[in-house]
Amino acid sequence: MRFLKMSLLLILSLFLTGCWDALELEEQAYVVAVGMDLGEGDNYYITYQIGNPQVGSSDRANAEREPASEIITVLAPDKISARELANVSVSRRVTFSHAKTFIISEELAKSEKFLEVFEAVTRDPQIKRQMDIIISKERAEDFIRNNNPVLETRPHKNYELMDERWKASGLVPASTINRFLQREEEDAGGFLAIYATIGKTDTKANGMEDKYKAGEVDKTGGNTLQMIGAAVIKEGRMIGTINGEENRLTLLLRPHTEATSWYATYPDPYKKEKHLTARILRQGKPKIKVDVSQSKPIITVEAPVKMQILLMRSFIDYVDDQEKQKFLTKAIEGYLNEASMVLVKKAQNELKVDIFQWSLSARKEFLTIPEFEDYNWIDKFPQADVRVNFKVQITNFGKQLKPININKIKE
Amino acid sequence: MDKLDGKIGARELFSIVIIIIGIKGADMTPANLFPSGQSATWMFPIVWLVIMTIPIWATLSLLKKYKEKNIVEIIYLLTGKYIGFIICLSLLALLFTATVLNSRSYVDIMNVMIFPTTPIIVLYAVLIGSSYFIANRGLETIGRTSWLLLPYLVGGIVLLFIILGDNIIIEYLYPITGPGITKVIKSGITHSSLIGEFLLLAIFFPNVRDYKSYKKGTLWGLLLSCLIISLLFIEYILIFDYVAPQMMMHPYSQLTRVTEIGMFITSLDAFFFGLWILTGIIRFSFYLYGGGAILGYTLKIKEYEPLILPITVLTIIVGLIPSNPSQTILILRDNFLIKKTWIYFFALPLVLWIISKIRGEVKK
Repeated sequence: MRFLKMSLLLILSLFLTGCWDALELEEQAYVVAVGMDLGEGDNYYITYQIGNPQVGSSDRANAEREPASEIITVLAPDKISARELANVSVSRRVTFSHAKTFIISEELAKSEKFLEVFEAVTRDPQIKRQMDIIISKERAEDFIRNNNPVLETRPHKNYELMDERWKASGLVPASTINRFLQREEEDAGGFLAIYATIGKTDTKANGMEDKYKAGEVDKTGGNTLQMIGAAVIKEGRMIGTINGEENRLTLLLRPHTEATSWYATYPDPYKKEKHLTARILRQGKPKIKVDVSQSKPIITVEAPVKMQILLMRSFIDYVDDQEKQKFLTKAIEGYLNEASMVLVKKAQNELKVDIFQWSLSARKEFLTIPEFEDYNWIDKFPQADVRVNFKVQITNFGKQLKPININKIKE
Repeated sequence: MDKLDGKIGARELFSIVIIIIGIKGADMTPANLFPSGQSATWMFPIVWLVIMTIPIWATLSLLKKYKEKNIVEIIYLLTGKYIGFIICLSLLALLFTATVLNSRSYVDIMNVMIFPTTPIIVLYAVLIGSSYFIANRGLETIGRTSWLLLPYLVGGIVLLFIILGDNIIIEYLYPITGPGITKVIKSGITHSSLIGEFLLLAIFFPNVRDYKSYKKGTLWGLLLSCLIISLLFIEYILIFDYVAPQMMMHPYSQLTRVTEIGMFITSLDAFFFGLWILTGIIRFSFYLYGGGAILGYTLKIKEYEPLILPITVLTIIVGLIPSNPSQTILILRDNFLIKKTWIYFFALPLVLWIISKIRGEVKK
């Protein structure tokens, strides 16, 4: 009897092999990044960056001459069928289950075909909704091929770290497929996607660290990748871009953000030509009130911000003087309010879309979905009366109490 | 092994109820509910509980009155040989259809999400075969396995909530009443048969230690099941907003694919899938055992356990008939099994209760 039971258990293990869908790790080719470009006719140029798991592991010695990844581009009707087509040169089975990054060229994002791309994405079980979307200024193929991170050999780690870093710095928005589909399905607001480019286009030295779009940062050395600012997508098409500073402001004004803290510079209120550098910490959620009782919505935003002043180029002693601190707080609040109002006006008049996700707060004002849909937020937003009010709190001045007495040194 | 008297207690019953009803939040049921519930879909389980209070109470009072008798025997006693036979047969047909459609939807989900090239018949045979293995050991085994699994199930759901805590957006729950409160209540009522299992549980009343533990087990079980379903629905909305779940075949597996712990541990879906499949196996083992029991009592066969095997085989054979998987299951299950039967589960206990009252009066 015991023998019978044991053999039954052993037979059971036969069922654990995965049956017809058994996959050997050795036979898989893991796609790390997928790129999509417009192709001829109904086709797309689809680029796969396939990671080489041997590189960067203890098994490196056996594969010394192998590159860290293989990049192939095929012309195919969609992402799924391209997977098979890729096998003309890749001997392993191409798998999407570890793909983290989805790169779409600006050209494709601006075309009518943009939404079609996502049909395949939602239907295929291998593709995760947490994949990041990056809109590249040039062709996605060129973007992937020319992206050569110096410090990271393994491509997946590069994308992984990149994602975390940029998310925290607030220079680019957190844009996943899941969030994209939500914004498009809700059909009330716009979506911000990461905007990036390889190589400089025309650099604009403007003395501020975040008033750049991708490609405008004056930088030499290292990888030529530049990822700053966001592409604005409205009703399934890319309609424009915003720069890094505008993106940070959007993040501060949105009801939800993943960005945590970043450095930013502001003009010194006593010496306009000098700058202050501060670490911005978002403090809780902004209070967003939407009044929909009138024909024009009235939006009041109160955004709390914590600030650590880290550098004062003007050498003015703010630490000792309470009056000066108050003045500084007011000045920064004024600066932030003004900059946000410029951005709001840009969103209302130029982009004509709600990039601040205020539609989410507006939803609270309605009892039923049909009422909300009738209100037609996407058309009402450009007429909205927006009031932004930042509440800045300076929490510390770094590890130094007083500035260096510059006059004394110079004497 | 000292308490093996073939009877189950309140806690076993309680965990059975959770596994057969609570898990409906994680199968294809959301696909049936979200189109009509939208951002208020999570209110449905509350509507079901409210609507079904009266029939649940009627069933309980019948069981209390006719001690030691199960629902099939009570039906025979109250409605006579012929009508009773028809009612019991309809009960059996309902249970059988539910078993077939639900197990097929499980197989479809597995096929689409994890095993795209494995033949459906193999998946079916493994799933239902494992269920048969448990069902064959009797109600006590089902109850004890459920009780064993319950902490992991609840722990898994809690873990899911903790992991996804960062990704939720509370505003997605608004507009709070979704399509409007009247529509929610109406649609909730037509879907209330989703907790109709309380009637099927009454077959096993004699197998439960006493009336008190039966009452405790079912009522708490129903309450917690509805809570679990509601919470899962809320989680779907908080992660995906209300539009996406309307189009998803199986939001649970999509939800578990979103899970991440830190930077490098991504997609814990395999863990949650394992939990889900274990729950499914126990759920179908109960259905199979229940089918055998109803058939046995209806035909007045004392030893009904040998009937489980033919029911198992029949489930697989009938389950393989629909060729176009999800659509057929969605349409069949929603239009026939769920929407048309709520009145049955609502009215039958009441009618039985009224007959029993009248008879009692006449006897006096």
